[in-house]
Amino acid sequence: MLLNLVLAVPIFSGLAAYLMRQSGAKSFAALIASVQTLLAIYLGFTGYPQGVSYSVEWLPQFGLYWSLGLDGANFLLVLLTPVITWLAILATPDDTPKLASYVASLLLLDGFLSGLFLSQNLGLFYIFFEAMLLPALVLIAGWSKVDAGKTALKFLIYTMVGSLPMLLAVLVLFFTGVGGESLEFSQMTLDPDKQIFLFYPFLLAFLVKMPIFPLHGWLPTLYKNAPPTVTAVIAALMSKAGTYGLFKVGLVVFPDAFSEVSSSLAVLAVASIIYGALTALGSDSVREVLAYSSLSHIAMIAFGMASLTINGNAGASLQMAAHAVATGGLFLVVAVMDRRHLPDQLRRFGGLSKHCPRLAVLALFLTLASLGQPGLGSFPAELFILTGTWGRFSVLTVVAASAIVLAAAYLLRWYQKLFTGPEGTYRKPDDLDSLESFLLSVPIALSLVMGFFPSWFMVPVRLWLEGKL
Amino acid sequence: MNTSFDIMALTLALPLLGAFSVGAFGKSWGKRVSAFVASSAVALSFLVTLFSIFRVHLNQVASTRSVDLWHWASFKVFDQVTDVSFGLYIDALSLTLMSVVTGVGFLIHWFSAEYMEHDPEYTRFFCLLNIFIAAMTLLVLANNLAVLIVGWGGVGFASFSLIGFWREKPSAAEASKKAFVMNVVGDVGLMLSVFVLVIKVGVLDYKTLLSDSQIQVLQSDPSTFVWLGLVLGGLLVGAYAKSAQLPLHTWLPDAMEGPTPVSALIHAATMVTAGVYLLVRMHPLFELMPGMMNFIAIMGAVTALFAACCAMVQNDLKRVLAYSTMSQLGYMFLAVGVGAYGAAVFHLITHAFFKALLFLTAGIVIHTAHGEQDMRRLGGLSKDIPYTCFMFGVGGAALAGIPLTSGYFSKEAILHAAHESPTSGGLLFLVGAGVAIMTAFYTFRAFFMTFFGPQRIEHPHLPGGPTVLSCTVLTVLAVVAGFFDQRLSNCFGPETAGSGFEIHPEVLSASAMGVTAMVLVAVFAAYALYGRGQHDKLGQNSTLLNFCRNGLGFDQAYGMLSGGFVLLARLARNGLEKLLSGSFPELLGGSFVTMGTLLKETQTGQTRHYMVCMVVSVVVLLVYCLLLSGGSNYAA
Repeated sequence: MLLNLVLAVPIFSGLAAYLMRQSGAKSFAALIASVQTLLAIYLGFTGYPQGVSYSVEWLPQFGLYWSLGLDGANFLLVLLTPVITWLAILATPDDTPKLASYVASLLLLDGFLSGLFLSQNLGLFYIFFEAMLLPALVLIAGWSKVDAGKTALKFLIYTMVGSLPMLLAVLVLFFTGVGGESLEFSQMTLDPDKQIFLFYPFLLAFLVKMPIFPLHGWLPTLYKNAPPTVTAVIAALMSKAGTYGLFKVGLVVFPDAFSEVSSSLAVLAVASIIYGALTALGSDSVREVLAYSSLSHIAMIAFGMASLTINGNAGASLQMAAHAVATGGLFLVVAVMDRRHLPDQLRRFGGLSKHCPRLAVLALFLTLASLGQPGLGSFPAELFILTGTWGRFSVLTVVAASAIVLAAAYLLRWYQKLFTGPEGTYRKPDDLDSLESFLLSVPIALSLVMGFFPSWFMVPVRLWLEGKL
Repeated sequence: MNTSFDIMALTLALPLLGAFSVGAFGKSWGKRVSAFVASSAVALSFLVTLFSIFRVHLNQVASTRSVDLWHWASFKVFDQVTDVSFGLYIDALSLTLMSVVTGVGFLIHWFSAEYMEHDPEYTRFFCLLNIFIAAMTLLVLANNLAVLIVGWGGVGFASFSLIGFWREKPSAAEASKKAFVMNVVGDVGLMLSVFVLVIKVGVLDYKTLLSDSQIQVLQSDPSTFVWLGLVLGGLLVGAYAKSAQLPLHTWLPDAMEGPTPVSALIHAATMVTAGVYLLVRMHPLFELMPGMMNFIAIMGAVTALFAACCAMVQNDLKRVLAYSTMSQLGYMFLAVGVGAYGAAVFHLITHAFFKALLFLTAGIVIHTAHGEQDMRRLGGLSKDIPYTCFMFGVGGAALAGIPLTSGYFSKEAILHAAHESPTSGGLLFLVGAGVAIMTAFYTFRAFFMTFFGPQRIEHPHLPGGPTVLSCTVLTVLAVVAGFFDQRLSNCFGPETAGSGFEIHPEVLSASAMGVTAMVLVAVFAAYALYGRGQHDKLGQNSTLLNFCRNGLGFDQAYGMLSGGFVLLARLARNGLEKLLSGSFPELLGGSFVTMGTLLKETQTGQTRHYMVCMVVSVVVLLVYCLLLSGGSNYAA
């Protein structure tokens, strides 16, 4: 029952928040997100490490059940979704126009994402996968400062190209019953030779959502133009809808098809890792560097899954969380910079550490969290991913590992252009206030905990993976 | 996995606590209290280490023990589970290194308390120093390779932050980035070793991995040698990057951009020796591949020679010391390569003392001379700061290997081992001896250029009490540490005999006498050439000298490599990417819009048109379904 609340609380409060007055809406939304966080933590601890589930009949004649479950696959994402949303809400500037609708949409996005992660039924999964597009589009189209319409349209087209085939595949499963009596993840069984045709549409949808090279055309535009707090949620969580989909739907519903495409997926992922790293190194925009670094790091997750090993997949699961925390945190850095009306071109920066010493320290830790510094969350994740892939694709693993060096190069370049050296041409900003310092410290703390105690985060997913690989 | 606690865990917790409290409250505490807190944290760590050594000595605890603090992670390859704990491995080697790290670390904290007094970012400095000590402690004490990388990366981070400590200086930022990226190359090398070990052996903790039985299993299996090269290669990449060995050394000379106490602590005494520690720790694995051992020895000798050549022609006092560090590390690798682990660790210890001393006294010189580091503009400082001159001289004597100083004993031990080595021993000895003579020359070139000749510095800024006191302690150590070698091995009890702590420097052998004589000649030659402030021929600008001074072209080669990457990156960003995220989606968008207008035409409002569309769609859908589900479902 509590599982329902994890998504019902943000969805219904989000709907209510649209009607609220501007002043109270932000605190209300933050409160809701923190309530949801507490709920998720409570469930996470009571269900640790096996998870909890809830299921009622919905449209049983079509195999559709309202079934939700916290399990090893979604454990970390369900915990992180409200946390990141909470941070994003708190980091939203008070002078945002139509603040109530803004935070309401964030809450809705949060609710749909939680629903997506918790779904244990393919039909339900599909509904949430598409539903989350609505608040995301509203946020992008409504609050992007430049090219709002174009950015939203681009995102919409890419997503549609990905998800229309997926709709078709879901309908086929829905009407023909090739997947068995119901669409429950746990009960679906498909003949190995029929999997591949149905899996491709899903794969396409997930690859676009992550995104992965060369399907990432929407990414730089969106990350650059959307308000940074929205980007934080999209980069941290919505991108995980793609990787998580691959994880859950790929491994559970289409295991044979997944293993069939895994080699091609690995090649694509490594291409994406390198391509993202190079474009990040060649970019002169604060946000674009982060966007491309995200492209590179997300592909690392896909690479781990393609290894079809316990290590690779457990690492991929941890990397989803570690990347969410690090990238979410870095876009919060962009958010606080945005609030200070700082420019986006790296070449105009320099010497920011003099004006914002606190920001300099916190941003450094987040940069390190993103580049896989040992001691922070991405390190055990990458270590596990690459250990997993080493057994199957040793050459690709070496290439992917060399991208860690590139990541150090482009992220430090990014950091140093902003914070060190002689002073750039921008209006001198104030340092962080205590709320902002707190907001940026949360992801760092989470990353540290993941880096020093990765076992705790990986036990559920390892249990879940037993027997699937 | 049973977790337990050992008092050595405090050595990890104390500096971390220090770093956290100084970082959080340092600003409100003020400089004095911050420095006191940070230094005490390290001093307490040192005391805990001493206490642990005494407990071993009194047989209260086992001399070699592996303590699991908590479960870190588990790898699983098929049914083979590799448990990795966040744990400590405490034996003679790690305790020895810990006493150096915390002992020298404390002295440098103490020195910095006064030395950095006028820096506005005083508390950040001490916070970072404490972070460094904590990370170095983890590196030394980790009981498996995965957690070692955590410490390994941690010292890399501390080194990065401290090289770039003066953030407004673009050259410092550039140097720190270079150091960090090079160290990440090393981290990736170590990660590679971990992948292979996890998959092939399924063991990462030293206790099991390096146990005799495990080594025998590896040795008896011929397939071992297929993958062992990768493991050892990965470890070597890590060690070379961290210890600035050819060809991954270019970051070390640039690292001198950091404050001088940092150069003393991180880039001379402790962090850069981590590579030597790693190889000594992993020596049972390396011994399985004698070819690899030879390679290490030869590369060590080459690095020693290379760095000595560069050091001869430097004009910057700190860069002389940086290259000399690289050269001395080459000696240690040479020692490891010929199997003289005891000699390598012995030289590591004496080097930590005398090189820290040299850097700290060089720091005093630089302060005295108001920031001047170019030896051509220094000179005659023996009259302004005679005591510092004396201490620098002692450090220089130890570095040069003049008899009765600590460096003499440790360097002789290495040269002796090289001489005795059955494989290419003669050549290694000759190179080692040649480098020793060069070392004596360039060290005293620096000494005489700095302290002798006419006085060139006006209104010298004289050093204060704490800086001089901490250097005095190091001076004493730089002299007497040579007599510790036997005690060092005795102190840990007979069980450690296998870990390489028996040293028998046969200081009276004929070849050793010859080298010593040549070293003394080199010192006199340096005096004859530089003792009275003569014009310096080696400091001139000529093509050859500049080539040597700039590190024999390695920097240019790496510059071209990174330039190539940047070019590729620009091409990707401004070429392909423009297409993928620019033109292509816009084309797609455009076509959708066209399609939309076309589709608008289909909205005829006539029911029969809609009917046709519906029927066609349903048929298409049904055919697709039939194709997918096959006939079988319907037949049943």
